[in-house]
Amino acid sequence: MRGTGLFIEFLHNRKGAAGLAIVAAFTFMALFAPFISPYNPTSTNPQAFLLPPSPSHPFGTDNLGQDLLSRDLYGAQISLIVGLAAAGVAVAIGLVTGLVSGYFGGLVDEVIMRIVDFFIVIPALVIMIVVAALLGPGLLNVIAVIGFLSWAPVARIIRSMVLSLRERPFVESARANNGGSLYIMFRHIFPNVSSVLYGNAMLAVSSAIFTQAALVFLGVGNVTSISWGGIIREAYTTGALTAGDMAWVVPPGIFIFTLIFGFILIGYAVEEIMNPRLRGGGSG
Amino acid sequence: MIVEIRGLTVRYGPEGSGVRAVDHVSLDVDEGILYGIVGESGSGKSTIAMAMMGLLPHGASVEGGSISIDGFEVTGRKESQLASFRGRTASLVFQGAMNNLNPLMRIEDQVAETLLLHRMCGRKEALERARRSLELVGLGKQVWRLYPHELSGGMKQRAMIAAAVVAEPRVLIADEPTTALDVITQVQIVNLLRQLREKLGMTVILISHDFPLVSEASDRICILYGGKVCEVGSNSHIVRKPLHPYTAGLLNSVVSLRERREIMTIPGEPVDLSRPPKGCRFMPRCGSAMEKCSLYAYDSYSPEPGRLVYCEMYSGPDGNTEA
Amino acid sequence: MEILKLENLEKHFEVHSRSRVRRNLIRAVDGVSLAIPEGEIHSIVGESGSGKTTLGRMVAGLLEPTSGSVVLGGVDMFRSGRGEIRNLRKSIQIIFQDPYASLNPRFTVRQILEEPLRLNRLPVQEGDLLDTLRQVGLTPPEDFTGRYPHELSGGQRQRVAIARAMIVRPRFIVADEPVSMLDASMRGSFLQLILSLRKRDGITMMMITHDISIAHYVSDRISIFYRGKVVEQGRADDVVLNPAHPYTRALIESVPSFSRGDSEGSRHPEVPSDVPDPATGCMFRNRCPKAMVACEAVPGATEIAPAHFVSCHLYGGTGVK
Repeated sequence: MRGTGLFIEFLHNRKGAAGLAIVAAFTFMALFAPFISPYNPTSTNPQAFLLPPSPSHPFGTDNLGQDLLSRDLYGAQISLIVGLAAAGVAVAIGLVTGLVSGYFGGLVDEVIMRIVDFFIVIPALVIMIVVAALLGPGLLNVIAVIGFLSWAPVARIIRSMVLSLRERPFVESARANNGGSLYIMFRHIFPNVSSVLYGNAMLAVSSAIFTQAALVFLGVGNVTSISWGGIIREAYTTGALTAGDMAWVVPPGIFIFTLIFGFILIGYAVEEIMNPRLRGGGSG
Repeated sequence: MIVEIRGLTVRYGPEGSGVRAVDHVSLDVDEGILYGIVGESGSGKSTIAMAMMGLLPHGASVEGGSISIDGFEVTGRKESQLASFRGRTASLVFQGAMNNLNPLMRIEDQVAETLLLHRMCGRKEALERARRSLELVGLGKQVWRLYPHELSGGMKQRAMIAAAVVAEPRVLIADEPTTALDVITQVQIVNLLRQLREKLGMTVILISHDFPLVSEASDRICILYGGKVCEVGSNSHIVRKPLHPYTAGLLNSVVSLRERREIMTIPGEPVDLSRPPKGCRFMPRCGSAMEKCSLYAYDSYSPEPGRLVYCEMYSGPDGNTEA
Repeated sequence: MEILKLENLEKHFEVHSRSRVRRNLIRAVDGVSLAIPEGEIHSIVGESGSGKTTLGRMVAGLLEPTSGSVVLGGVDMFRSGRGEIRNLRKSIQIIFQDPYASLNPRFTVRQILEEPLRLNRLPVQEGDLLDTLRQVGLTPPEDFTGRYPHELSGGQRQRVAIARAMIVRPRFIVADEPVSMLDASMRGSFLQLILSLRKRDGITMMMITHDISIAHYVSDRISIFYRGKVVEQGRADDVVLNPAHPYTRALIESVPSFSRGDSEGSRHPEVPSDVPDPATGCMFRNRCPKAMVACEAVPGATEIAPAHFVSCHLYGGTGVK
């Protein structure tokens, strides 16, 4: 009941509806790429390389004669998979560490927060390049690297919320009634951080999508699978970028930023709807 | 009449669907008196204070009516026109104001700031006047150069009052100035407001949920309920012989230390402003409610000279009491 | 027979000053002893910063004392076996000041009431649940069980909080400023609810409040609290009608009232508010209009009338350094 009500409210939120429409469009693109792509994205055609945009190849072809539109459509798959999975990893780690750190405090908190500080100050992209190179290519490796290196901000936000929540009278009341730590954490504290968590999860997805594209562009991770970052990388390495072949570079670039923007919009909408304080409406 | 509010209506939220926190409120305040406004949560008392200063929060707007303070019409003004009005014609000390002192500024500098912002005088004179103002509110030399964290809550509230009166405004509006202060400090702050009225001839409007406290200090009292005025009259009239059933209920629900009596309570729940009842807003909780109360159009009656009551019980011919 | 006994209870907090060399010790609760007999309502009256909330949290078992003991029904809350302490926690319930913060916004009223039962491994019975809601004046109870706190008014929320405390049939309730956030028109009915519950169920209660008129209205005995110490204690009428300690007097003098409504000339309590606390001796002496040399020593408690105790040198409180 409450869930559907919130969803309807979400659709009425302008940011939420726009974000959802964007993400839905890209999800459709990723799922149905095999059916809507005009060509096989990996079939090369020596007769038709580096074609400019034309009715048969709306975005032209690359240096191997592969249809760029088809490759751009397929590229949505990797971005969504890596974005969602890596954000899932980051949020899961951030949530657990944030909860534990904030709830128990003391030495546990000290240790976890110093680790968080470390992960926040290190230049993540550089570490990712090194680690990804060590692990070797592979989708799972990319997901793991991005996930394990981007949980720190989530942990910090969750911790600060837990710090204030654990002093709330309703938590104290549960404690005074023999409520154990695990019970309080999951029954009282977690539901009250979830609104911020969902919002931040959406932001983490956008950041993971961007990081994945950046890694591939820099030649880290699975360069051979079709992804937007990879397409831009190919345009760069073949010199098409410098030659000004816009149809090769601009569409994947726009796709990356639109998808990121879509998740950011959803993130804002989720926070606006689930956080009563941002809704206003007080009087008196 | 230094303050004249006519039919003030303030809405929170979008047109049509919002909530009317203040609904056709009219008030007249004579110059040089201490005027008390009593209201519980949701009565609209803070909204009236903000509207008088032209300081309504984002999302709130004046839907109708007028507010004239010392001849200056506040509603519909641009921010630039209000700048010279605030602090000089009217000043506001609001709830929890003491927490709004800048922690990095000395007390005397904060008090002088108003004068400097208004370019009313040079730095040296501003500081001198700030010190005089601090002295007036009972803060001596030893605190002038301190920082806010070195002051107690009561001292901070005094400093805020000093800042509010430093430019010698005609009207001082104090919205819940004693909330969160200790009982002993509360009386002292209220006494201070009375002194300001006496020493500076300032008109003071004291707004609070605390009926006994307002009654200790005020010459006239206005009772608000659910964004509407219930009754207005002199302090002694209202306390000795309340006309409106809500006022009577409020008086009876106060726990008194001096006379041990059963406290009565007002039944029911506070009015939900998003769905106000038809007619009189107090009707659902009123022991004297009649059928015609649901048709009540909020006419005011004056059964006794100098008093106004918004209640159908007094709708007899010529507004005389016939209930 | 007394049900709750506090023996020389102390809670000190260490506050690091900026230099980190000198540590300030805040004596939030500084040697409190009192006994509350079964069925009595005992009010702790004090201003903010007097340590009264810290005291309440220790009594509710939420905070461990630095020294001293909290004994309920013969069981020491902090020096007993785990099982006994579990049992004790069930027998003590707490009602908090802020009805907006004391209920989990994501729980329904039903979940809020079921929680203490489940946590204390007590059976959850629909009839009990509805009865408890009815007792606290939320009728018809069926209308309330499915609601979330934001769908209730402040007064209704505080009734839910009291229902949550009552549902496990506690022996003792700590109420920390239970009415200070309620509107005056709601306050009275809430106080009457407390009185009627006491009459019917013989509830024993410690009420913490800054408002001496409310304490006078509901309680049998009053302890006046100042800077972590009880300065005066006695039957509610004795303390309010014959206050002995200068602080109690100032407190009572400061309570606003209608009877003085239009009398010209405002009151000037002789007690200044803005003076620093002394480092030793009677903590009130810097504000006290009757301070004397003897006040440099901490006053002991003197029984000035039967069961009316005052800690003040005016009444011969012998100095204990």
